[in-house]
Amino acid sequence: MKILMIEDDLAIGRALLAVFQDEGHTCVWLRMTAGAMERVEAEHFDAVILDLSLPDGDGTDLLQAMRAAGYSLPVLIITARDSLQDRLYGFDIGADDYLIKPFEIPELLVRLRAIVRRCSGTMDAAEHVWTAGAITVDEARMHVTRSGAPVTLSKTEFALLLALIKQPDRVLTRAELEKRALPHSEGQTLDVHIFNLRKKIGETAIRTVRGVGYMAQA
Amino acid sequence: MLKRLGRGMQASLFRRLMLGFSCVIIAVALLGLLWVFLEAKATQTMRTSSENRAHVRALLMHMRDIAGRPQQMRETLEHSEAARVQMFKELDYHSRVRLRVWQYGRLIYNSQPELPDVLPAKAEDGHYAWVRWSERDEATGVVVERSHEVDDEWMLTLWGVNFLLSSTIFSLPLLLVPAWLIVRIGLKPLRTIAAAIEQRSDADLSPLPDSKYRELSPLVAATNALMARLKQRIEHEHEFLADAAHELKTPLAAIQINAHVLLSRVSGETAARCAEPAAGVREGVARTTHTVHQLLAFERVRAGPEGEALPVIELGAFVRDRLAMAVPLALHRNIEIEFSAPPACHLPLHVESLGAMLDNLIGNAVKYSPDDGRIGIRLEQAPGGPRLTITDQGPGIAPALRQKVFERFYRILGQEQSGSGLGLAIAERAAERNGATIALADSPQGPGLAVTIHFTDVVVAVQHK
Repeated sequence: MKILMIEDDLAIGRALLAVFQDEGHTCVWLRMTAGAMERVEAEHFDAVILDLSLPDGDGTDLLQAMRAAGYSLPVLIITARDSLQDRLYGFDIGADDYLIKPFEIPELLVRLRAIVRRCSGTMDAAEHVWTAGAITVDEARMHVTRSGAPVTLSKTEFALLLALIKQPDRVLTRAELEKRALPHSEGQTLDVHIFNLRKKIGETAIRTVRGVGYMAQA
Repeated sequence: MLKRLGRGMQASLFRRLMLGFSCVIIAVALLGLLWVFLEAKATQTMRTSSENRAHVRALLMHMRDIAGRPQQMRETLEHSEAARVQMFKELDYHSRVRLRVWQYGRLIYNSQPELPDVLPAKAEDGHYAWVRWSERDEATGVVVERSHEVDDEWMLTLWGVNFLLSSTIFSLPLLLVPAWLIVRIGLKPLRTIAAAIEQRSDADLSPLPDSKYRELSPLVAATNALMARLKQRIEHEHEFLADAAHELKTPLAAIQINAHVLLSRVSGETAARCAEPAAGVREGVARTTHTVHQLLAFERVRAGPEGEALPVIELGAFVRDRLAMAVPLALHRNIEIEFSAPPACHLPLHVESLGAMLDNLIGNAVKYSPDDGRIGIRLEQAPGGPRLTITDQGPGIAPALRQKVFERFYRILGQEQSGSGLGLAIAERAAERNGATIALADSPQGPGLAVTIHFTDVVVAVQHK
């Protein structure tokens, strides 16, 4: 893919250039905001990697200008600013992701791929399918299998399982699960649904973290 | 004790004012005394002198009748003198009197023949002054002269001084007691300001209320100006620390990216040989990054501005969200996490610092727990306010070190787990910012550490949706 990188630090810029070359991407590197708008207008880029503190202005101004001009190409901010306000502001003005320096390269590459995919809107079929342990969920076809055998779930059970399996390494709190799968229920309904779900897909497939929530067991 | 002693020795404004007051009173008293003394002396002289004149006139009248009979004149004078001596004796009056009488220039009588002819008119060398009066009767040629010692020595005796000073002495307490009261009440605003400064916490650098007294206003203004400068300076120091930590991030990022490029480009046997140093570089960068983030967190959780309005949040849900993020790491080592909380616990809290505190405490519990261990987190209503207890099954902290571990960069000797040494310092500061206290104890269920955060109950109108 073709990336526009706006980063003023020489050491980081050179190293990232090497990373992108090794990955087989094309990268245009600018060291200030001047000229960036012209490049975006003239060429097609798959993504923009944007540093915020630049010698001739702030990266956020450039991002705002880009969005105001109607460019919707994905933007990943890489910055040392790590306060909550800074991050929220970054997302507010239209950043697709926000990575705080220093960061791991594999994480940068994964996030970069994710925002490009999200923006292109072309997900291949494999990306609708989620797997944890023996359980496989096909989101588009609303189809669940356990060790290859199909399992029939209610709509709520499917929503619960999908929410859990989409984030395999995260605990979802009761509040989060209720918001996603049971928007109109209250009290112990969640426990009942989890109990039923476990009966169908196996007791160990969903792990309880007592007092916190549930997570899909890989 | 030393402080009290020091206070006793120290110069006192109160004493200074009282001393000034006393000096004025004594000076006025002494001036009064001098005035009374001089007045009494003048009166004494005047009275003695008029007495002299009266006696001389009386005697001269008497002598005129018996003029020409020297013997009779002498006897009469002797009698009169004897009567006077007798009277003086009765009055315990010691001043001397000389009576001399002449007729046609011939001395007829001299009551004090041993005295010189001319007597001193002014007191000198321990002698009194004399007042003298003489009158001559032209018809008979009789001259009567009477000299009287002006006795003012009594004024210098103890009795005399006592008499003169008595008014001053009696009025002294009447003057000093009100003076003491006036000075004491007058100095009260000063004590009030001192008390206002004394009862402040070391974090409170807000200005003192302005004094309504013109004399104290400059003092208050100067103190406030100093505090403002101090505040600004502390602010600069904090900014410096935050900036310094921030500036480290970019070079760290450069190291990390370059290390990645370097290691991704080696292959084959070299790659295997590079595995260990690669892990070392990665860990080094990770640790430095962690320390930088901890330093920034430490700066961010410090006390906020005075009277900061905090959002009311449900503590149970907040803890649950933070736990959800920490659980995967714990589950990788098969550590069980259990959280219990009352239905609702609404408190005004500072979200960022509270999050930093929980992340550090939960992180510590996970880090020090043995594999397959258990971490209990319990939120409950306790007297005074909600109490959050985090219990692990790790090695715990010896009672002797429980104060020490809150110090910045303090790490327990022989510690194998890596860390910045800032975690508990951040937690303590964050607790303080949220009006909570933090305490360490042994876990009630066998080995392990129990961290208790006690929040202060604030009356909060529970917000219903």
